[in-house]
Amino acid sequence: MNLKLKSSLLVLAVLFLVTDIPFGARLSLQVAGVAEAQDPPQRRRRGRRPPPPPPAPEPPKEEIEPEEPGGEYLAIEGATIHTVTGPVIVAGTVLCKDGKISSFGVDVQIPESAERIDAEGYHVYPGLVAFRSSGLVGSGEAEKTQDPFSLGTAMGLAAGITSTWNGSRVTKLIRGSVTDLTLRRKSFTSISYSSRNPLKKREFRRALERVQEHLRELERHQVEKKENPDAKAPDEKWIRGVYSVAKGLILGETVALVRLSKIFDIREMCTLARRFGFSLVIEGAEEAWIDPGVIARCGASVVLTPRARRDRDESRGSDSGTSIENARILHEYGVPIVILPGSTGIAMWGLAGRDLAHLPLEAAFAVRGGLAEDVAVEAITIEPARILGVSDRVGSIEVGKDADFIILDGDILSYMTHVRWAVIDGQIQYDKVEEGLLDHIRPASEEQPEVPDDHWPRRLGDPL
Amino acid sequence: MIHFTLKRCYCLALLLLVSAATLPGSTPPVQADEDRVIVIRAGRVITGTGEILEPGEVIVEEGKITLVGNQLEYPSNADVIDAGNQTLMAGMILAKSTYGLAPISRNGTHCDWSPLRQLRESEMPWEDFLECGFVATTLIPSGSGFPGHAVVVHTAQESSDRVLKKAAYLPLSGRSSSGIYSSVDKAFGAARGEIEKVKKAREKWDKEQEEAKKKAEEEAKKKPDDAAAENPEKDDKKPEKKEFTAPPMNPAVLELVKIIEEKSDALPIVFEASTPGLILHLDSALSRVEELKDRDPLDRFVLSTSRGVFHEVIELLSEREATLLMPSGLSALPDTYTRIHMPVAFSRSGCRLITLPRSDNLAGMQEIPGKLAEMVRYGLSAEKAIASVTAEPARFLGLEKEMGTVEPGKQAHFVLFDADPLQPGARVMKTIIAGEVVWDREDRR
Repeated sequence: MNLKLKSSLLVLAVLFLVTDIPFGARLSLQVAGVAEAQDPPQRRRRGRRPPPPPPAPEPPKEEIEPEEPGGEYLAIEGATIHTVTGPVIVAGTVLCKDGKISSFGVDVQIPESAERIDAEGYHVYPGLVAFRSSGLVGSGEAEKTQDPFSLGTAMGLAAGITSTWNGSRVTKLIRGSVTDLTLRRKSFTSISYSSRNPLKKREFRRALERVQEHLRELERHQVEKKENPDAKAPDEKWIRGVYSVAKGLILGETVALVRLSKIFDIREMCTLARRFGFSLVIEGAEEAWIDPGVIARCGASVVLTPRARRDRDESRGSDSGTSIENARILHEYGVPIVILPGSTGIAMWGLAGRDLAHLPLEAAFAVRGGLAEDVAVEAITIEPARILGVSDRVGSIEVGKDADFIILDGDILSYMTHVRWAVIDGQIQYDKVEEGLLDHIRPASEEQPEVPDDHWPRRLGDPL
Repeated sequence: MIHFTLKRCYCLALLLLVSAATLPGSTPPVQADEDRVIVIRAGRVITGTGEILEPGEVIVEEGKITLVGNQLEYPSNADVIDAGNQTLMAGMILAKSTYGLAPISRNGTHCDWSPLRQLRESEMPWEDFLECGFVATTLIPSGSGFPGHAVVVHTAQESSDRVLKKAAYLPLSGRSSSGIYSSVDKAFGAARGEIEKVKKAREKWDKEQEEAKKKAEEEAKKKPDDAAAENPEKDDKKPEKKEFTAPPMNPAVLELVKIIEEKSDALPIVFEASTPGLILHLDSALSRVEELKDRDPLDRFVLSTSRGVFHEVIELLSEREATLLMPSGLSALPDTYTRIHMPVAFSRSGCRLITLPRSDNLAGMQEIPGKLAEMVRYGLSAEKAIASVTAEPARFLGLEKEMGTVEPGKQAHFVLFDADPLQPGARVMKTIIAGEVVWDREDRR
């Protein structure tokens, strides 16, 4: 430790000698670099170390030359920019170059060749990240399965979603193209752990215990091997099925994704996660508000649906059932939360507002339960991006990140707000006026929309 | 019992009658008299070259058109077919059909498979084709991947040389987008393997030859005095004797090898897309094939429906001036009530259009003139509508020098309608192949 300190001091001293920048300036530069990298906040974890975080994004270029030729520019002017990981900028400009955000702020120089969007009065947010979805993008490798002209993708964009996890990959909602859709591969170890199936619960616990015992044996063997090269290695043939799942978890190779709702299941799972040191993402977690501390202590993240309802169990003496305050309470205990509606598709039937077409409305319900508004927005942008391992590219408006953002006609959590434009990789993927899905609702062009005299949709023209 | 024998007698009589009727006139159309001159007179002749003759005459010699015009001179012994007020135009050509073929579906890569093997001459509904004015049809094998090649045949009832073109194109179809990737990868992977095989054999042979040469030289050095005169002769003989013979390639992928090697007789691939997205997936799949990466994108497609969702690829296909084989019909833009006629929209944007029947059977073929009229109603010119079943398919199949229009030098394949073919209710009156009337409505009365 002492040695390290000394050597780093030496390096600094050499730097100081070689360059003639004042020491303080260099230090502040370094600090800025750290702030811009935006690594997920380090949470206290017990047990083994989690897998290394995804590589930090390349440090943004310090000086952007707007006059640089050959780039493809898109400028969004005059909007309120909600960066999510930074401040809110009023009447600011976002400048994208070749699919990346090259700069944003109040006084940004816009090159002449740039395509400009006058967004005065509009709000810019990073594109929403749906933790899970079905029907918005192709399954598996979307480059091979996506229907580039699917209505689902357009509906997803109209809801403000620009990237989502399809079960095996994090994919962007790009239309009319079948190249460069996938952000990265991502898979979780899905575990079913429920008091309805106590046998399976026990099997999982036993597997963890046996695998940990095996790993200890392996460590002992390594020590033994130094003295006695002929020592026999412990048998590994039996590590299959649930045992290989347990091994992957304990070694930190995978993250467990578990749907839990009852508080005693949550407690048990979190205890296991602490004891065996694996990373955990809990889906549902309806009763988590009863004992948020247990989740916070094991470092788990929670994917929740604020509108989910479950009746109180009168036969139990303790607290039970859902609470609209779930998100607020978990956040207060430092648990990272992701918000997802009850249905992960986009439905044209049933009750409106419970599907992915209304992801921000679901977040608004968490605000209704006491969650701070900025945290609710994080729960549909940067938090899912972090859990999915793509926070270096999407989830917030930062220099160097992908130019994926949405331009809204109001505050994102308002029920009145619609997506006006959705931009992915610096390209306009959705334009409310051109798309024809929702353009009849409060048209941007008309101050006083003409009231139709019958129920016939106005955009379809005269029925006769 | 009596009933049974009666029926049998009746059958016998009918058989006799039929044979008596067919025996004298059973000369197939191709074996026509060499000196015979046929003159067809019609109230209107739609030449397909932008000209309409009213009235018009067509002179046919040896199954070919020699003159098209008005008040032509012809020898007095010529056979005159007077079609009165009827309208004559080039016989219609079907660019893709499986109608009448034995229902065999094959998946995978079988480019050598000819649908003629699925054709039972006695079971073919040739009359259905003729009744609707089709003088030629393109038989295609069914199945996903590369199930075989397309064959162009003429539709006369009986014929000794039915095939007009042995191999016209390679149909490719994929049921799902991921299926396209695997079929393309597998097919071209197999073709690449065959090329490698020949290359290796060649290298091996070259090596062997060199070794043999060295050996011979060494031997010659060893015994320079033995028989100096004989040795060079032997050396000369050796390479002559052994010419390199390439190992036979798998015939199923031979056509794909030709495509990779850019041979002039390589067949074009025609992709059948049921949704517009599949076209993008096909482009992507073909661009993943190392050898085809830098080629022009595919420009021949079968669109299995005329659904409005295809409007998404109008720009893409018109940039390529693609040839589209598609059924005609009016549809709506997706999720709206806005009408769009996809074939017309494609044609007007610069694509080449070939009209297919909406269903691959008699009913589908019967409604073709009505569908052409509908296309004119939605903004296509009458010439282009008619060309989409005559000149365009002929060009697409590489038969533009033989058929597709009424011009001197081309085969005398015609269809006669009792009115303008785009008039509602117009009926096919006669179908003529190589100057012979092969179907006549008069005979059906």
